[in-house]
Amino acid sequence: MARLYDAIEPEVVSMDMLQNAVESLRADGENQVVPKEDKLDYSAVNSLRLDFRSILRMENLWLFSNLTKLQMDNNIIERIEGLDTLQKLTWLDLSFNNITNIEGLDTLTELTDLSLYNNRITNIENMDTLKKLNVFSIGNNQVDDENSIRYLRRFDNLRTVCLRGNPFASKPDYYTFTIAHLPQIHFLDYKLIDEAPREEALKKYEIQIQQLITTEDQDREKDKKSDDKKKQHQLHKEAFVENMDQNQLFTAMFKDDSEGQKLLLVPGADELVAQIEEKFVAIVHTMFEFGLKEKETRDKEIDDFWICVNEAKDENTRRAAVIVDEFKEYRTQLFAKEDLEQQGVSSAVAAEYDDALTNLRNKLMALEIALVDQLEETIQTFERNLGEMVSNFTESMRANFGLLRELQAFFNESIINLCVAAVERYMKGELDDEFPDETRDLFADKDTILNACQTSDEIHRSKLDQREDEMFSRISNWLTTMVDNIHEDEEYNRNRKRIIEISRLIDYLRADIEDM
Amino acid sequence: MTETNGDELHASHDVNGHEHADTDEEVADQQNDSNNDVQEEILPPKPKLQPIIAPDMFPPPIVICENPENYPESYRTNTKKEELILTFIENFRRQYHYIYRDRKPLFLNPLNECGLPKFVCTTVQPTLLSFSKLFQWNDAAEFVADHLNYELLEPPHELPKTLWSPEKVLYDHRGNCFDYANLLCSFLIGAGYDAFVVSGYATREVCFMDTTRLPNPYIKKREEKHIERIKPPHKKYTVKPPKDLTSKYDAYMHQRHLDKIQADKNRRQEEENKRIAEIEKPLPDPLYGIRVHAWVLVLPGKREVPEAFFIEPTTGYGKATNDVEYLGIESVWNHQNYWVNMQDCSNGCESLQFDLNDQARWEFMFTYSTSLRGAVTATLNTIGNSAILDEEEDKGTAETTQKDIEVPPSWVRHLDLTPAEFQNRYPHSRKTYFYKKTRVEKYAPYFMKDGIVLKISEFADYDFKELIYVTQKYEHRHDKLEERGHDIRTNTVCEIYLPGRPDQLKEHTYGFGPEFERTMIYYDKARLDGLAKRHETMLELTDYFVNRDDFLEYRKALFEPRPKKFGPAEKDNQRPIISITERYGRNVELNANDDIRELVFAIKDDKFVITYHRDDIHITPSTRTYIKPVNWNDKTITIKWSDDLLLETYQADEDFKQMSKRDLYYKMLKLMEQEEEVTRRVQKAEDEIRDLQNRRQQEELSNELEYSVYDTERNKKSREYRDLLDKRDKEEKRKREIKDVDYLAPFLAAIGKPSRINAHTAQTLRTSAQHDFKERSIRKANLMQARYENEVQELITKQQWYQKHQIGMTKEDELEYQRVCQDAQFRLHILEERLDRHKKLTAEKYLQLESKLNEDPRLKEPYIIPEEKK
Repeated sequence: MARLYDAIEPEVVSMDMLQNAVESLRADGENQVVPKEDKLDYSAVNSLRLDFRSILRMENLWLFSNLTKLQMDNNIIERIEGLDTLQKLTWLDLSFNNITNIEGLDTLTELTDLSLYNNRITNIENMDTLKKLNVFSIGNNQVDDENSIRYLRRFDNLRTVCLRGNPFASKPDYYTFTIAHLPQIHFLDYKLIDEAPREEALKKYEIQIQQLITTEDQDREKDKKSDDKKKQHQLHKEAFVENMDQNQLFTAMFKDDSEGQKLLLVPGADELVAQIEEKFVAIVHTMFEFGLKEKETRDKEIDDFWICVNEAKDENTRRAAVIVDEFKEYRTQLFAKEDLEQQGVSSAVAAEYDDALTNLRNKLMALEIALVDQLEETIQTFERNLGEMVSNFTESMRANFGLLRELQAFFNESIINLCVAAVERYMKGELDDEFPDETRDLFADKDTILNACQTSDEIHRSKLDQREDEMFSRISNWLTTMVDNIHEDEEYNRNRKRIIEISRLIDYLRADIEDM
Repeated sequence: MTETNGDELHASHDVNGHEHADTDEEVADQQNDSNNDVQEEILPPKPKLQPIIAPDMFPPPIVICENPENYPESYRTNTKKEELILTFIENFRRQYHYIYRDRKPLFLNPLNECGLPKFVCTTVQPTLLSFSKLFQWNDAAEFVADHLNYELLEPPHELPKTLWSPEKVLYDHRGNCFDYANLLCSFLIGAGYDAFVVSGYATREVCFMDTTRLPNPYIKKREEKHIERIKPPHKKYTVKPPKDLTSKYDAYMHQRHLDKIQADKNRRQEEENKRIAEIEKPLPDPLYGIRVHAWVLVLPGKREVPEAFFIEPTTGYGKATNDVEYLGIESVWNHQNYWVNMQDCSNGCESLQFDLNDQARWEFMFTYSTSLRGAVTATLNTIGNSAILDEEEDKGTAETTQKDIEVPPSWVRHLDLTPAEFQNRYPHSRKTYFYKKTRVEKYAPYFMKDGIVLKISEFADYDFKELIYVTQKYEHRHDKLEERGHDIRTNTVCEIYLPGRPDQLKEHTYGFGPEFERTMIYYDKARLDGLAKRHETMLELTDYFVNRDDFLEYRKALFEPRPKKFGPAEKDNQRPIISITERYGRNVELNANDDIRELVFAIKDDKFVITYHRDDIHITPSTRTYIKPVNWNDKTITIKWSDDLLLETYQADEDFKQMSKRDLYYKMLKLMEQEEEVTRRVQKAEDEIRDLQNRRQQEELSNELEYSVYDTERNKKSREYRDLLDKRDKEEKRKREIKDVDYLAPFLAAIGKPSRINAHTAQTLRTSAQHDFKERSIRKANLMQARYENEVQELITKQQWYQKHQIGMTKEDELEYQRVCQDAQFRLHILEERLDRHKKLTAEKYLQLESKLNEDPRLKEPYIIPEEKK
C-alpha cells in the first residue's frame, strides 16, 4: 500500500505523454496506411489510458472535452482534481492510487462506472450528483463507517458495489447490514445477492430501515419544498415583484429604523401600525398580482413572437432547400449527358450551367432578402408592443408607489400627532412609568421627537424609492437586453450565416466547370 | 299452376342447378390460369312479358303436396278455434266487400300445402333461431333472400291461392313473394322487431326480382382522401407574405379558360348521364300498378328502429316507405292482427301513414289488438321465444275473451335450422345474382374446393359480354388468400392476404406480359426487417421499410437492362446492379450534419456518395463523395489512404467539424463492407421474389382449406378429440351410476317389483332394510372377531412350541421364530384396529341408512316406485 515516494520520481502529465497515450490506442500498423495528423485533436478522443505511470497530479486533461473513459489506475495520485471539464465521462478508474478523500466529481453527472479500489479513503461522500452511478468499487480502502454505507442508498441506479478489504467489511454483520440497507444493488463484492439472505437481512434491520426511510422521505419533502420555494421566488423575480407577496416591504421599512421603532412605543401607535400595515400590504399585494399578470401577458407575447419568427424562418429555409434540391437534380442530369461522351464538359454546357448558377444565386438571395424584410418588420412591431407593455407596467407601478408614499405620509403625520400628544402628557407627568429609560429622553422635548419622526420618515421613504428604482431599472434592462439580442441574432447573425452558406454553395458548384 | 307447371317454373329459375357441372370445370380452369375465367356464359334470366290471361279461362290451379299424411296434424286439420276464426273472417270479408265494392279481394285465408284454408296471421310463426347472424334485420333479410329461389306469381296481377308454411318454404328453398315475406316476418318478429307482412302492388322490376338495373352493392369503395390543409390561424406576429407581383389579368384570363373547359366537361357529362338514363329506363309495363307483390314493413319503437321502413324480402334490401317501386298497399298483418289500408294509394306509398292505431286510415280486424299491440311485442324484444309469447297471449285473451274472438296460435311448427343448413345458406350451396353490369356469384364456405365464397364480375356493357374486373373472395384458405381482384383490361391481379403467412405478405399486385411490375405489401410489424413494401420493375427494385432501429426508409437498386441474347435459360442469373441507394430517416440523437440521409453505392462507377441530413437553419445538406481505391477487390493488399480517394466534400457551414484522415479512412473501409452487405441484401430480395412466385404457384395448386379447431364437423382431429372426451364422459357417468347402489332393490325384488306399494308394505320394507343392515354388521363383526381369536390361538401355540424347544435351537431358527412372532403381532394389531373401526362406523352407517330411508320418496306418499332406467 504505502509507496516510497523517494524512490519514484513523480511524472507530469505532458503533451508528449498524452500524444503517446492517444496513439497507443490505435490499431497496429494503422500509421502506415493513414498519414499522421499534424495536430492532435483532443476533442475527438473518447478514451484515454494513463496507467502505471507514477503520475502525482491529475492535470492538463481539460482539453479532452468528449472523453468518456479515463483510466488512471496504478499511479500515485493523492487528490481527485482537474476533471471538471470532462462532463461526458462515464467510466473512471482511479484504483491503486493514494487518494484519501472523494472530491472533485461533482460535474461528472454521466458517470456510471467508478473505481477507487485500493486507496486510502475513509469516508464515502461528495458524490451526490452522480445520479447514474451503476458500478462502484471502493474495496481495499479505510472505510469503517455505517454512514458511508447508508450514503449509498441515494444512488437508484447502483447495481454493483465492492466493499471488501475495508475495515468495515471485516465486521461480522457487514454482509447482512449492507444488503439490507442497499436494496437496489444486485451484486456485492462481485457476487450475486440471493433473495433468501436478503429477506432475512431486511427482517433483521426492519426497524432501522423503516426509520431511515422516514427520515429520507422527510428530507426529500423538505428539499422539494425549498426547491419549490426557490422556483417561486425565481418566478417572482422574473415578474420584478419579488418579496412583495406578503408584508416583506413593510417590515423592511422598519428594520433599519432604530429611531422609528422607539417611536412606536408611543401609546396608540400599535393600532396605527396595524391599520397602516393592513392598507400597505393590500396595496403591495395588488402590485404583486398585477406584476404576475403582466409577466404572463409578456410571456405570451414573446412566445407568439418566437413561434411566428420560427415559422417564417422554417418556411423560408424549406423553400430555399427545395430550390437547391431542384438545382442539384438539374445538375446531375446535365452532367450525366456529358459524361456519356467522355469529353469533359463542353463549353455550351458550361455556359448554360454558369447561367443556371447565377440564376440559383439570385433566387436564393431574393428569398433571403425577402426574409430579412419580413423579420425586420416583425421585430419592430414586437419591440414596439413590448415597449408599450413595459411602460404600462412602469406607470401602473409608479402610481401604486405613489399610493404607498401617501400612506407613509399619513402614517408620519399620525405618528407625529401621537408623539406630540405623548410629549405633552409626559410634560404633565402622566406617562412616567410607561416608557423604558432610553426612550424617555426622546420624549423629553418636542424638537427631539419631531427630529426623530423626520428621520424615521426619511428612512421609510428612501426604502420605497430604492425598491421602485430597482424594479424600474431591472425591467428596462431586461427589455433592452432582449431586444438587442433579437436584433443581433435574428437580424445580423442569421443573415450573415445564410449569405455565407449561399456563397459557399455557389463556389462549390462553380468548381465543376472551373477546372476547364 | 299444375304440378308439372310448378316444376317447369322451378326448373327455369333454378339456373344454378343446371350450371353446376359447368362451374365445377370452370373452377378447375381458374386454378390453372386465372386469366381464363373470363368466358362464362351465365346470363340473367330474361324477364318475359307475361300475357294477360282472364282468370275464368284458366282457373289458377292449387298446389297441394303429394302426401299430406307426412305433415303434422295442425297442418292437415283445423281446430275449433281456427274454424271459428275462419267464419269470423268470412263474415269480415263479406262486410268489407259489401261496403267497399270496388276494392280488390283481400289476402285472408289462402290454402296451405295440405290444401286447407288457414288465416294468414296464424301462418306467421315468430321464431328466433340460434344464430346470432339472424338477430339484425339486414342480416336476416339477406339470409332469406339468399336462402330461397324466387318463383313468380302466376298470374302476376292476382293474389296467390296458396300460402305455404314458412317451415316448408325454408326446407324447399323456394317460394313466391308472399312466402318470402312470411318467412322473413317470422324471423323479424322472433328477433323482436315490430314487423308486418304487406300485401300490395309493386313495379314489374320488383315483382320479377329484376336487379339488373340496380347498382352493384358490392362495389368497391374507392376512397379518395381529401386532406384539407387547415390554414393556421393568423397570429399577431405572422410575417407578411412577400409582395405578389404576378399579373391579375393573366390569372383572370387563365381562370376564364379553365371555366370554359369545366363547363364543356360538365355539359358532356350531363349528356352522357342522360344517355345512360335513357338506356337504363325500363320498358313500359302494360300491367303497371296491378302487379301483386308482398313485402315486409318494420315499424319504429322496437329494437331501436327510428322510423318505419320496408324490406324487400326477395333482395334483402331495406327501402324507404316512400320508395317509388312500391305502388300501393292493400293490407298488412302480423301474427296477431290484420289491418286493411283505407288510405288512397294513387300516388304510390309516398303519403301513407303507418300509425296502425289510426282507425280512419287502417281498418283492423280484431279490436283487442289496438290496445294490446304494444304490450305483447314488448316482451319479444328480449327473448322472442314463442313460449313466452303464448303466455302473453293467454294473458291478453283472458282480459278480452268476453269482447271478441282471439287469433289462435300458429298452426306452423317451430322453424328450425341445423348449423350446416345455415352455413349452406344458398339453395344447392350457391347462388347467382345480377346487377347493373355486374354478376355476383355466392358460394357457401367449404363448398368450393378452392374456398371461394364470392365472385363479382363487372362488365362494361348491359349484356354481360365485356368483362372488366373480377373480384373473388375466399375463406378458410391455407395460404390465407382473402381476395383476388383481376383487372381484365390492364391484365393485372391484386391479391390480398390475411395475416399469418410465413412471409407476412399482405398485398400482392402483379401483371402479366413483358413489362412486368409487381408490388408486394407486407405486414411490416410482423416482419423482423420491418419491410413494408417491395416494388419491382424491369430495371428497379425498391424495398420500403418502417420503424427500423437504423432509420432506413428505403433501399432502391437500379439494374442494367438484361441483354436479350441471354435467353430464358439465364433468367435466374442476378441482374447486374448499376447502383443502390439507401435513404435514412433523421436520427434525432445525432447532429444533423453527422446523420446520413442518403447513401448511394454507385457500384458501376466505383463511387460512394453520402448526403447528410439538412439542419433546420441551413438550406443545403452536406455531401461527401468517395472513390473506391483501384485495388479494392484484392484482399491481400492493405488499402492505403490517399487524398485522391475523397473526391469532394461540401459542408453546409464552415464551422462544422472537419473529419480527420483517419476517420475518413475507416469510414471508407466501412462503406466498402457495407456495399458488399447491401449487394447481398438486394440479391436476397430478388431471390425472395422468385421464391414467392414459386410458392404462390404451389399454393394455388394444392389449395387446401383450413378447418378451425372448434369446427368439429370438419376438423377431423378435433372431432376425434371431441369423441374421445365424450366417450370418457360417458364412462365416468356410468361408473358413477354403478356406485349408487339402490339399497331397496333386493327387497323390492323380493316382493316382485310392484309399481305401487301401500303404507304397510313401506313399513315392512323399511324394517327389513334396517334389519338386514344390522345382521350384516353383526356378521361382519363376528367374522373379524373369529379371525382375531384364531390368530391369538396360533400365536400361543407357537410360543409354547418355542419354550419347549428353546434349548438346542440354532441361531437361524431363533431369528425365524422372532420374525413369525412379529408378523403375528402385526396382524393382530391390524385386526384389532379394524374391529374397533367397524364398531364405530356401524353406528354412523346405521344412522345414515335411517335418514336415507326416511327421505326416500318411494317410502312416502304416494308410494310410487319409478321404473328402473336401463
